[in-house]
Amino acid sequence: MEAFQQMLSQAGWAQGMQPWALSGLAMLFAGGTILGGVAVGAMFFIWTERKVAGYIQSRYGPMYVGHFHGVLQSIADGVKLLLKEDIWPTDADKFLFRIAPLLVFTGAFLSFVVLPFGPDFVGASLDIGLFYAFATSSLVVMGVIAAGWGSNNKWSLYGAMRGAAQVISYEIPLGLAVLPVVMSVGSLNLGTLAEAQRGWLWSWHLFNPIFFVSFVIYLISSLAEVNRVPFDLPETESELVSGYHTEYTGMKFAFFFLGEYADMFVVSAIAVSVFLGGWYTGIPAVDAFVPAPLVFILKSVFLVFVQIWLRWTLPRLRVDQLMYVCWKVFIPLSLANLFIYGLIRSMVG
Amino acid sequence: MISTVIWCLFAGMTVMAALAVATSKNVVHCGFGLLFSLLGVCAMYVFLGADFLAATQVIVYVGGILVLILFGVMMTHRITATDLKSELVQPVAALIAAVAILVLSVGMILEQVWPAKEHLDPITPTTHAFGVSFLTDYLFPFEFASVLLLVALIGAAMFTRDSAGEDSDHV
Repeated sequence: MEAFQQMLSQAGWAQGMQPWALSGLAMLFAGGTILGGVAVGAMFFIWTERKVAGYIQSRYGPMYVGHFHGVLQSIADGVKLLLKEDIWPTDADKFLFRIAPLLVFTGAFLSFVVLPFGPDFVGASLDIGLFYAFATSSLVVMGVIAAGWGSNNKWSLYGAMRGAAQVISYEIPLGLAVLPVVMSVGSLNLGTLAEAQRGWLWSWHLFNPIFFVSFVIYLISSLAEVNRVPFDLPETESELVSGYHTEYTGMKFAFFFLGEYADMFVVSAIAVSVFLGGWYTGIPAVDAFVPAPLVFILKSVFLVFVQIWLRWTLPRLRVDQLMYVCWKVFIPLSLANLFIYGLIRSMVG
Repeated sequence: MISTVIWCLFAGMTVMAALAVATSKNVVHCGFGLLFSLLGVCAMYVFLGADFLAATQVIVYVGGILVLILFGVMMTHRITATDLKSELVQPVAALIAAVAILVLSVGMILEQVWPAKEHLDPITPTTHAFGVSFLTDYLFPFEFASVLLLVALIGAAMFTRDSAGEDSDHV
């Protein structure tokens, strides 16, 4: 935000402009940049997903559109989705059916505001950044429920119930897992958390044994949080057709899809800034000339790749196994982890 | 200027959504009205510079309580078949109760000296003050609330069990 305002005033546009107009323009700029990034990034991830899936299953995936390995396939699909007929189920709840994709996408989009792409590249450097990012995922849950209920379809409703139960359960280990790191740094600001890992590779939080346990819990819980395999029970093609978005077509469906891939990036980016050194490369000499956003985005994209890789490798869990893992394994484990870290800190001082 | 316009938008959203909660005949629509109303209240907290409170509002009320309410509604068989009654029952008593609550709350708002700052331009971190007061001045209410929640948790687990000592596998 501030960086945008400075850029605007340096470009000479700001002369004779009211301060409120300047800050409004900066808000529009920042929001527009994030929105464009989310849309293009999600299209790139969809293409990556299809290519990775193809290679894991010994086939090619999209090959023709755009000549080089089907790079433009997502754009072609986007145009196709724009042109598709917008189908409404007969007895759908009109209001809920319409706002559901918007809620899901908005929830994912809002989290981007606090992601620290670099020391100066952050939409809003909130002091409660991490907490804010978890709060926005509540909107996604509401969107899923609205979709399931509004579709007036029992598969959608089952999918939505599973999705909501899963997301609100896994929010607990997700939050508890990052708490030791928050205790150590003393801040919820994602930028400050990343800044604390400056220096050589071993100053990353990942290489602290207690934080490593946190990282594993976070990584697995985040898969459940974004409804990815092995926790894709809300969608389960084989039993629920495709869960809460069964009845959606055209751009409404595209919004769910964009939201899902944006969410994957968000949880990865949070993992990068909390555990994997944020925008630091791990070698102080290299940090001086490598652009920070590039490092941050590359690390996050790698974690998104890991999520895709897991999706095409692992089978799906059953509902009871999913709940067992969350309530009887992860929550006690993360509580114990938090307790041990607190004990060590209070004894060492 | 801009913030006044945005404030009015959010205030309008809060009130309109609350009206929808009170008047809607569909219980699921009431739930979603509550969503927008709670989000509007969250925006009010942001305008007051209470960042932590705003995020907590969303996590606890939207992510927790509202989802549970809707869960309960959706689990109930043929819930939309029953129309909610929104007719007037005992208008005099209702009027008296409503006016009494209005007078009480307005009186309290006017009487209370609010620790508001003149200018809240950079949102100051509130988490530190929260943490300190939870573990010093308000330790007893904090612990009391946590014990209460624990009791509710154990009670819920007890009620949903089929029979003691037997692990159920209906999920």
